[in-house]
Amino acid sequence: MTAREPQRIIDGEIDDGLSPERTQLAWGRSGLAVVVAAGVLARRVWSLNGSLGAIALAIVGIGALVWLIGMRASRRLHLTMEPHGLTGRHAFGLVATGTVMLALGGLIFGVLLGG
Amino acid sequence: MSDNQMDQGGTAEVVAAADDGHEDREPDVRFTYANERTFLAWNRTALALIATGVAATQLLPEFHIAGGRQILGIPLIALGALVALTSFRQWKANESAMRRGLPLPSSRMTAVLAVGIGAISVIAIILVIRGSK
Repeated sequence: MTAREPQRIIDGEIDDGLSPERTQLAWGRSGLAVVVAAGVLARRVWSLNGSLGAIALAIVGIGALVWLIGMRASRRLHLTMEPHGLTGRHAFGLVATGTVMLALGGLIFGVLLGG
Repeated sequence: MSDNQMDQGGTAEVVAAADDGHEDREPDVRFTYANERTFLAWNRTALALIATGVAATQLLPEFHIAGGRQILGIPLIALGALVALTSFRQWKANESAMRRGLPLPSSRMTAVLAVGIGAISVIAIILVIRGSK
């Protein structure tokens, strides 16, 4: 796929409302939120001992990693500027899965076992 | 919502697509990005709920009521997981509707989130009044 300019001309007017830039900033904010959430969770499960602690940290770590892989996949879509519509399904599916993994890790290890 | 549909270039074309219900074409890239940002905003909301739920069990002092911190934290985390899952479904439904030139589907998530946070606030108030040490 070759890189090309984003769609800038709509109905004869040049205005895309800086959509790509605003979306990139939204990804940045969200990435930051993941780091904070994973940090809070890791801090919580850190006190769990033995294999339980290792499993807990692995779930939190993998959840955050899956999220970031989704972010990277979406960035590739943006860089190529191919119309991505539903092909973004893969990237957003990973992001949603990562978030649910963080929730499960927090629920099981941070709250139920670690509380 | 209706503005989005109107602006998708070529009204006649959109109507034709809506009539057969299956014509699939790339929507205006601005709407693709807007849909993506909406998904991300919901995802951040989910992450905030999860982090708050875990922090509630970790940072709050113990209540007189047994398991008080869990009573507060677990619904927050569960709501976060629900928001994460439904935001993906909603993104997909919006994207499909835009591709077919159909009206965007409505979402119950705003109501669920409002009711959920309201209910959790009531739990928190009860814990503070009845259960504080």
